[in-house]
Amino acid sequence: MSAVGTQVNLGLRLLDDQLLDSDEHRCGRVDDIQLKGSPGSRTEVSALLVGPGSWTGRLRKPAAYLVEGLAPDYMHLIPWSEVTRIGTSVRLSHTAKELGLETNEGRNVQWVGSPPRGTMRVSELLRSRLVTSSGTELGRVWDVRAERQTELPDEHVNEAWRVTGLITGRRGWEERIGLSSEGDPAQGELFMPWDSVLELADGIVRVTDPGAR
Amino acid sequence: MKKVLQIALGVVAALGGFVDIGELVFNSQAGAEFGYQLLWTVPIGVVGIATYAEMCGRVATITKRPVFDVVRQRLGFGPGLVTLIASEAINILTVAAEVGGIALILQLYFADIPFRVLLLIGAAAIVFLVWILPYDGIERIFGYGGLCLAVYIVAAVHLHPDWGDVASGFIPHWQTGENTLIYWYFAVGVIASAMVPYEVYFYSSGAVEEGWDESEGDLAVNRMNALFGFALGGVFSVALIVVAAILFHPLQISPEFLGTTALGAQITFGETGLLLAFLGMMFAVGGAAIEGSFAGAYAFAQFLGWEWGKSKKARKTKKAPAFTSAWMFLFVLAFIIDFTGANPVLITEYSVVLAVVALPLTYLPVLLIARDERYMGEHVNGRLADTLGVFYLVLLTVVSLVALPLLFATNHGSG
Repeated sequence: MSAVGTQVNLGLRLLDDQLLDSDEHRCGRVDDIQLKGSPGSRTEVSALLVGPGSWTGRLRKPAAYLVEGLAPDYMHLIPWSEVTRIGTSVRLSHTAKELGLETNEGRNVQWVGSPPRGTMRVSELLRSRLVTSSGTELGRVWDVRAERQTELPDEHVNEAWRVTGLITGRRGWEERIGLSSEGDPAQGELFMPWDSVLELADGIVRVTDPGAR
Repeated sequence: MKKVLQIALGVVAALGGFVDIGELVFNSQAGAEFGYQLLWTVPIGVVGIATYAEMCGRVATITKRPVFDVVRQRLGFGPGLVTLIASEAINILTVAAEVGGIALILQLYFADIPFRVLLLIGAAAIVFLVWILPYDGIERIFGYGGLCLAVYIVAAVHLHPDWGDVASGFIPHWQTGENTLIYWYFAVGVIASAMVPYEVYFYSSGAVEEGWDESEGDLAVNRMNALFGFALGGVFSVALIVVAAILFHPLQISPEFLGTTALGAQITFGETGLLLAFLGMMFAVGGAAIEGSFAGAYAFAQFLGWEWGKSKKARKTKKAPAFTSAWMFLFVLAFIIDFTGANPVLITEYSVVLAVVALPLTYLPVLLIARDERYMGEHVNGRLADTLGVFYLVLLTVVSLVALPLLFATNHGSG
């Protein structure tokens, strides 16, 4: 139950899930997901972001400013290779201590600010509006769909999860909260293929015009 | 046999969780103000809490996710944070109401001791008991103790009500006239006091703590607890309304103090009745104070994904310092609110009515995940659970829109 398939909506199935370390201790939540790549080209899940520094990216102004002022300004970066199982929670291959989750120092700590070059965060995409290059509004991005190769539900979960597209439209919202099932990728307003994404800037995901595809 | 005992204990615990100062205040005042006319609101509240408690218990058993885990996962960080803040505000008010209620009850025994001293003693005693008792011990001691309130059921029968009038009170009807708003205020209050969110936070977290598992037959235990525990709680609520309707309504007395509510048992059974009523109230209110503070700590820790629990495992590994700090912090805040001299009965009314506003945000994600086959498999909501779940979500949304205007328009029910 709750096994992930080959087509995964990252917002619904991974973001905000409980993290368990190798000793089965609860050690935070998936506060954000780091993607490696760039708009329109090959992009994969590269790390999970955990901690207060990632909360501001999840909120809209002015709540984001308020949280930014109150919460510590760092987050932990858990490499995707550390994930061993995704089900009702996300299981990691080391203890929280070994992963540095109990400290704000070390190589797995990332400070608040723009994502490192060549990366983006799922929260950036989820806050954005989809606009075509000719300026037509297509709606809000409700979820980010990724694809993996393995059929076996709970195994090899840390293989490459490649971003295949963005979910938008009314059904996108229904999918995000789990009211309707994650469907097969289909062209149109519901599913925007990743290779049609031109850029991501200032809360806008610019995509090619439908006629140009 | 072991399973039967487990169900019986669970029913008592659910019953103990159901009856709190909100029930005592709203049901007694509803009976005193409107006789039997508001009895119909009791089954509405009871079926609602039983529906969602069963759903929460089932989700916890199958997915190992308690309520706030589900809230965060389905609503996301932003709306989840709003729900958390609203829930914590209500939890603080609830614990303040319950801790203040303990002091009020103690004051009825020890009239010479200042209220603030009794407040300190009551709060310290509760914190001490929580510190030394295991999870199931807390649940059972306060659940069993709350059974003393059965004196109201016996009193309701002993007072020989006109059962035809009582039965007609269960038929919903529209109230018109000058008391219309007050009538609806108490209707909202009785339904809301039965469905306050801390009950499901506590219940579902308890299911995860106790390691409920479908292979152990715990889904049946969950169903029995939800059905019979809350139904028995409903019988207590009906008894409170009936006793107040017979004794206070004709005299136009409004039981604005817990002592007045206790008089219902004393007039019927003398000193013994009074003692049982006080003891029952003490355990019911004390248990609710603990559940409220735990519910707040559960919500906080689960939202952030931190270790939580009062189980042996959590205590042994000492890995839940944030959880422990959170419930103690809630007690301190509640104590400070009471220490300012705020009236606990008034705090109760505010906490119950404000709780209604947070209810749809709490129950929506539970309903979403309970009807999601990907998570629940064959234990996904059936047609009845789905229909009731949607019905109550719509009802609670409507009630949440009118609750605050009614609170202010009726001057919290006093007209």
